[in-house]
Amino acid sequence: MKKQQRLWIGGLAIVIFLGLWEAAMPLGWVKVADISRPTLVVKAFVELTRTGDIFHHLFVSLKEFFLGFALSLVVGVPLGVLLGRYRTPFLFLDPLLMAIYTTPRVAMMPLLVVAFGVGFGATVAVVFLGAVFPILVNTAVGVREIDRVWIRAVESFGGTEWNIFTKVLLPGSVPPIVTGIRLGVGRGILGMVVGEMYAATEGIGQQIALYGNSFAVSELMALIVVVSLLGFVFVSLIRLVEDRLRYRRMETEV
Amino acid sequence: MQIEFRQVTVVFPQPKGGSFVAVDGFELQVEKGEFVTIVGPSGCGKSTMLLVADGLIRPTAGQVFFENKLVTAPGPDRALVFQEFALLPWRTVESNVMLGLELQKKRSPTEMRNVVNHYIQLVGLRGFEHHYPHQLSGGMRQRVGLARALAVNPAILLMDEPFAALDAQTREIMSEELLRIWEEDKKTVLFVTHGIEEAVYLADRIVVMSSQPGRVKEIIRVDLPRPRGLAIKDDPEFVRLRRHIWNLLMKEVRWQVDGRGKTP
Repeated sequence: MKKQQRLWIGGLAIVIFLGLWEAAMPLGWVKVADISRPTLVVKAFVELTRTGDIFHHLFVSLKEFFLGFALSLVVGVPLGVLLGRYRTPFLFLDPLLMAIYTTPRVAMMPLLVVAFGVGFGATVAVVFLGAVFPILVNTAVGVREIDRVWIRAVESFGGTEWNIFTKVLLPGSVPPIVTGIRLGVGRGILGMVVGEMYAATEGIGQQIALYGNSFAVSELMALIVVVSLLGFVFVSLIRLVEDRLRYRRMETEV
Repeated sequence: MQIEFRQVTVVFPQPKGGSFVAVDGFELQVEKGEFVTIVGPSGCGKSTMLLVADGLIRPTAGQVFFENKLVTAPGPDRALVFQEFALLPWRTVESNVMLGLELQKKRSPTEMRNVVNHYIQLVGLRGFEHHYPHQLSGGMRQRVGLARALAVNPAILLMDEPFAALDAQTREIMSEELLRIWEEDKKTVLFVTHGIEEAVYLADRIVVMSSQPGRVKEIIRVDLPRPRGLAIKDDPEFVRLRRHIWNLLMKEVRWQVDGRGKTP
């Protein structure tokens, strides 16, 4: 299917949804206090940007997000390579990591607040915990599935274990690492919002909780849209990188 | 004598216990500048011998000596060419050919680039320096593999069924090309194949192996004149050698085909 056609059909659903939402309250389809309307949400958004308040909270949130995400890269990629390459560390750490992985991050929030403090510290920690696993797991799988013959080629030229890491394992697992990063972004943003909603004095998540508690639905929706746009932009950028990589390094089959 | 296999035996432990004798008491001496082919049915351990010569596999018993030094690990004097080409798909032709030089860190970047370009030209890939492996045909990919091995200027070239993955025509052209390149500086070559015709066409001597366990069955000298063109395949001596080797291998192959072999 052509790309234009795809955009058009996909866009139609959004337009219909917005139309129904806009009409729902005035036409009395819903009997609840307030579900707001797209036009009101836009108005609320304009108001929020006019005071500049939203930018401060966005900045705080992004700072937490990027720090947590950077940490998850610094930890996730090397650890993933290690676990993908060597059996003993894998057997040693796998049960522990899986236990942490399957524990809902939200359930850890109280602990994280105690450990890292309200707001910044706890949010960075929960972003890290969300993003690090997809990155780690994808890296490990990527490294494990590296073609043995590439490693053998490096060995045959007298390459060291370090050479195997830098010349084969890392570049060879870039596509799955990027996929892990893409999945990690979603988890990281989730962590960012949840962390701030639970315990913070500033940030988008804290604002969402604030407006939610005071039933200011239009402002609440405006903030939610901001968060989802944020995720959409990040994921799209990474998709772009993924597609380019796929084109450049299509597997050579014999 | 450049490389010497002394009673090399390789036993692989099996995952379910027990062991598999891949090669048993392999003996071979290769002179400097000699082109030796090793031919045998699948599973005769001929590729294993090549990996032992390179130092990637340690023999269970026996030794390999290269220029009178015991082989224990890969070294810059020996270079492998792989059946699967083993090119890194994220690197261009130029960058793939440079891999060995990079790892050996003996030259400056400018020198390396000059060496790389020389060998890219030698194997006939000029103009493809910046292509990726997936943009090349099978034959071209193996030219890259060959250039990569030659670029480190090894004393011996170890070729593990390098043309097995190519179609019949490309294969003939590649073996002719290989001889052309070999004639330039006559490096020692140890060339493993299961193609009888290829083995005769290329070789000064042919090592015929039997399988399960892999043993040397016969070593045959090829006295066909050099340089050789593809037309030599019609020479009566060529035909005689080919038939002779086929007869040697026939029993082995029959076993494999009928499943009446000595089961491992």
